[in-house]
Amino acid sequence: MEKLDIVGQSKQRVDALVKVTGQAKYSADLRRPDMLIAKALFAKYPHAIIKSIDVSKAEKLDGVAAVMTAKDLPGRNGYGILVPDKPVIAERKTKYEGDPVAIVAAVNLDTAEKAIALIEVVYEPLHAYDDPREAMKDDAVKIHEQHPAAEKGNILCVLKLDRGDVDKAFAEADIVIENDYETPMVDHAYLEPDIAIAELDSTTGGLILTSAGQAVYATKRCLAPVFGLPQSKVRVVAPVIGGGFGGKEDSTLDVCAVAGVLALKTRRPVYFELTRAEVFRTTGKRHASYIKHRLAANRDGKIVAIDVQTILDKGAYVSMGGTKAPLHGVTMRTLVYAGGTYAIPNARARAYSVFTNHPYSCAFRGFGAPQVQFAVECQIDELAHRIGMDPVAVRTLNMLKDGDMTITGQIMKESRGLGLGECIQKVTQRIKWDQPIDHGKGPVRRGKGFGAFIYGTGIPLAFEGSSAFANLELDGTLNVAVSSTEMGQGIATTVAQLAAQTFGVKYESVDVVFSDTGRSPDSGPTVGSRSAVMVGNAVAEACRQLRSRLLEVAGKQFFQADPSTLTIKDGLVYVEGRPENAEKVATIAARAFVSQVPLSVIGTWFPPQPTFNSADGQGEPYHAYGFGAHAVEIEVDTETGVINVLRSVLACDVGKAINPAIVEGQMEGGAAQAVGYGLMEEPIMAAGVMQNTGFHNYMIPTTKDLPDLESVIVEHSNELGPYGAKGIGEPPLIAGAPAIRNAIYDAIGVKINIIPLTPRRVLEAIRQQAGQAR
Amino acid sequence: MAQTEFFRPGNLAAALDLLDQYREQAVIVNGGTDIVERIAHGGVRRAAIIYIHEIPELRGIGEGDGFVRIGGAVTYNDILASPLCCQFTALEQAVKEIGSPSIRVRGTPAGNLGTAVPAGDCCAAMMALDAEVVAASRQGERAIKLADLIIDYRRTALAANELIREIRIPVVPGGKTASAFLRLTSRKGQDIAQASAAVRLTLDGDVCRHAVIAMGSVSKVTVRAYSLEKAVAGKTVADAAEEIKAMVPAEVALRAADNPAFAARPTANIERQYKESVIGVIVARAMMTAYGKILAGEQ
Repeated sequence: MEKLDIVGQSKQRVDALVKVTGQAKYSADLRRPDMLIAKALFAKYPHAIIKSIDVSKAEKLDGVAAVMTAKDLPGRNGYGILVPDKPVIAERKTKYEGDPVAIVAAVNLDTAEKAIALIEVVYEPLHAYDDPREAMKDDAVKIHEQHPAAEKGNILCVLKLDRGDVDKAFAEADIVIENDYETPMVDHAYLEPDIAIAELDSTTGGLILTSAGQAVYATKRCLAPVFGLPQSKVRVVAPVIGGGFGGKEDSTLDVCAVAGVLALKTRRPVYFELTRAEVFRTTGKRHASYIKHRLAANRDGKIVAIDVQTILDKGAYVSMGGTKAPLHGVTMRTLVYAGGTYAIPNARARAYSVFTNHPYSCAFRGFGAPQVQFAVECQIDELAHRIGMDPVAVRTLNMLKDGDMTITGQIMKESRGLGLGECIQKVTQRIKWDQPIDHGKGPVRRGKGFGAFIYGTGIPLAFEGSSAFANLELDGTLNVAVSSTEMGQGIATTVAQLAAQTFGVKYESVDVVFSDTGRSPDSGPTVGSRSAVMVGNAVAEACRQLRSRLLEVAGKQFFQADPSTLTIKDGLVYVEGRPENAEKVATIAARAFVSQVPLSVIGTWFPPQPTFNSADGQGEPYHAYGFGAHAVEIEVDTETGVINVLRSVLACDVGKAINPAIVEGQMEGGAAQAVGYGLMEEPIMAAGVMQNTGFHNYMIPTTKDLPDLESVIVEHSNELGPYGAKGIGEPPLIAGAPAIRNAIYDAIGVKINIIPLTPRRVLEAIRQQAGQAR
Repeated sequence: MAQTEFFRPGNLAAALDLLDQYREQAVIVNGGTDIVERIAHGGVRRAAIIYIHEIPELRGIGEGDGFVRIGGAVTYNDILASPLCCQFTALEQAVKEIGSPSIRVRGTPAGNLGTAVPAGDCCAAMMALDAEVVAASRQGERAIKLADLIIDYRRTALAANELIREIRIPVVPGGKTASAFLRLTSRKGQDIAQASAAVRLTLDGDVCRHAVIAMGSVSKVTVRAYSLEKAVAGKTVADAAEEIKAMVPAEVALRAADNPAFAARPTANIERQYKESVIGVIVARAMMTAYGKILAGEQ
């Protein structure tokens, strides 16, 4: 087997130096003095009829270049990754407080703000829906009077999964556990706010959009109709990004649409940046969920059936929520993961996606999995307590093993990596699970909790796959181009390592161009924990092509040897085992160049075609799955409800860690975000209006709220992944919140099924239970 | 509106001259950790910004006349580094949790008092320590007890041409007296108090002879918990702590309609309930910490 000396090493990130020295250019750094500044007048009421808009005073203000309302748009007044249901500017109705009602471009921010203040809008406010359970009722006011995809009233879609005989299994089971769970809407809380720069492309007559977005090709496709331009005339560039977590797959569309139409109108470059409060109010959030989870098991701990109903708060627009067709979205994931990482023969799951007047719910790290798997991991803990079995033992007993079938009917294969058992073993060992914990005597009690997860690599849609570009330069260096974005996760470094290893040059000899539709082929969006695998495979494929072309030339024109006996390593080509007689890659590349050998190649990779039937939830949506186990030790202050996380040990099966430091970075980031998700993050909504729109009242954890985040990498190779890799971007977030919740139960015997576990909520539950006991 | 002028006076006299000239049209910027945000977001707009943070006369910590004297521009970090200030445990504990390291290197106790918000950690600590401020203007100086300084939400008794030249904390002989501060926050770093308590406890044997108790974030201003002070007097500390744990002190005024910190929030009711259910615990714990300090000192 090939010895790996680049893949598997914690190489210094390609962007490390420019970022730590503050030289990296983010979107805001690209603002120039000649740019107009855009501002939007967002809806005053989250749900209202717009009676009239008067922009005349704003238009007359000195320094205002353009004021636009819906009637001034150049193309379609609607966009969306899956369904074009979100207007650039609201025309008749507002559906959430992030709907622009009018937009302005002016010579500076001050003038733009003044112009916005001069716009007069008359509204007729309607009842604003905060709760999907209310909005889905028959007599609810329709938020979308006409929606291209909605099934009934405010119900966007109902997806179903059916497997086996659920009713029979429940009737015959020894134990039935039924609980309601709630998980919150969450803001992505990325450090860099949303920004777009729109400029006319003088060569094509189209537009160049520069924006912190996670999906440059999707942005181009979604917005070309908005601009009334062919897709070929829209170029989208994403500079380095200050965090995305799924949110910037969508929010980039919002800012690009506004900046783009203003640039077309004024024929001048336009800069549009959201304030932090606007980011909170107007951009997408995690789908809040209301889950009814029933689980049937036998006394020996074997789970025999689940019956799960999930109601998702869709917010105002489809975004990445998904429908029956196009399917891909958060809603279907809540079916796929309704049984967690366990082999369950009988399953029924229903997922309702319901419009409300909240910000549109979009992609967010974990994509539906952190919602349902919170419920699953609480349920299985309760099962363990009910039958007097160890919570980890119940999980091990039920976990998916080689040959087992998931609730979607997919057979699990060790050849694609099934490392959950090893993750569980490593985590329990490290946290000393088998040793009893001293729960303490005073008001502060201690407990340990556990959670496990499964998460598919990639997007479960027919188009899943990637293209990448590789160009061998004549000095022996290598350029790779992908459309993936670099948002701190490290894809440029991962790609460089894969390219260097596969082709045979030094890591330092590879440069990666990323996220520019004008410079790279479509590698797909940077979402779904897909890039290391999908894009990585495409890059590796391109590099293999280049390598074999080079070896062909080397064999014929230099070594008079069969190319299969040659190797390339560290930029040198030689007969295997005889590095003393090497030729430089540059020398051979120069010869290839004059021998009509193409040195620019496109590599592509497509996984086995994903399948999923929205009528019964059956199919093989992913070629491979990542797994993990998360254990925490916590302290509960029973007099204040404050939870203190003392230890966090997370093990993830990543197939192969291309760069272990980057993988650990993802794991630590996910574990930290899990503490926020589990303990504190929650937008406070009142009739569609977000109340906490700053980081002083929208709480995310600081380093002081986190223990040392311990990460254990487990590698069960995926035969189809580059060097065995599986996705790791999203999974680390999933099991932290249920682990914390289960630890609270362990500490004080109080069961709380709603997150975040704020001090108020915890104290209330403690007092309620004490009151009932009395 | 007209342009805002920025002044950086080099000494106290110059600062007082400017204040006298601009009065209500001026905003004082000291450490700036609160006010700069309000200026930047348009909440405060004045003709003049008077930046006093680098005035040498305001930067010292000294001792005299039975007081420790803390200059108006002394930072939280200066307090933490000061051997004179470490006798005031309540102050030390309040200061070391404020904001973040970058806030503590800039922010000042005087600024905290001048801002006069109910969550001001120094306000509670200083109140329990019976501190007073020296207000200076071109017309002269006057001492104001902390209880008289803070008169309403974000309002102090300082005249428009006055600034806090120094804070004075009376030195109380150790042995039988100690103080402590405790606050409850939504998270551990970069957050303000949900509820806070500062206690200065004086023992008589095992019995609580006298306690000064101040509470933060439970009313529109920092308040003295006289009702608790009365309730604990003459009891053993352990008994007193147990008793006040479950109490909602009469001075907790979260339901007052004029409390601007709550008025407009849809979640106000839930917040009130939580604060009311923990404030007794916070006070009791602060008292126990002070008690522990005294016991430790006796050994």
